[in-house]
Amino acid sequence: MSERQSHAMQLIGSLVVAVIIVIVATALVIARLPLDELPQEQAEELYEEDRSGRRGGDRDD
Amino acid sequence: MDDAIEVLTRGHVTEVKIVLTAIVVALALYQVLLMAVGYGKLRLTFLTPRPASRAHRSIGDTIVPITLLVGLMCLGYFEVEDGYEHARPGEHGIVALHIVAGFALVGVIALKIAVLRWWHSLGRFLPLLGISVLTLFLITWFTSSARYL
Repeated sequence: MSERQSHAMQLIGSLVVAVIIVIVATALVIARLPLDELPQEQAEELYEEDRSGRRGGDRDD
Repeated sequence: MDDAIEVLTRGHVTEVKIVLTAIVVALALYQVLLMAVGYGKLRLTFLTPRPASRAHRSIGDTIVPITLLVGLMCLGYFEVEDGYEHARPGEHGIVALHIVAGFALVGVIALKIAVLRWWHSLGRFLPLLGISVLTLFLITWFTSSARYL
């Protein structure tokens, strides 16, 4: 393998390591975040929709 | 601006910032390792200085836009004044440190890019600028995102 090819391979390897670092860091951070919690406004909207839906259902009964 | 950021992140502005800053800090630490090889301070059998320096440059070109994006999200959504005024009791000092370190980080990155592209005579200061960038990254991260993890 020529020196140029060797350098190209080393460069690609270094960039692959960087990609792996990004993936691992993302996974570790997401695992610690409470992503299932909805933003406050969205949660309130869903709660109101749910309540009004139940009331409508009660009337039908 | 804050509406656009909220739509883009689907209301999870803080979470998106935490993930992005963690990625940037992890890459910044890797950058130091690459430049230690690049300057010949660290000798590895599988990585020589030239490819290490080129990888450092490529990854740096990726880190800078992400950092600017996070900074814009911070300023556009939370704003300096609001961020300081709405800090938890006793945490005003930490928030102030975060703001100062954030602005200093952008300034030092801009200076480093200027030295790399135009002011080549100041090239001897690049290691110092690099360490300053890493230190400021760590300070901004520890005073904000890291505290949520």
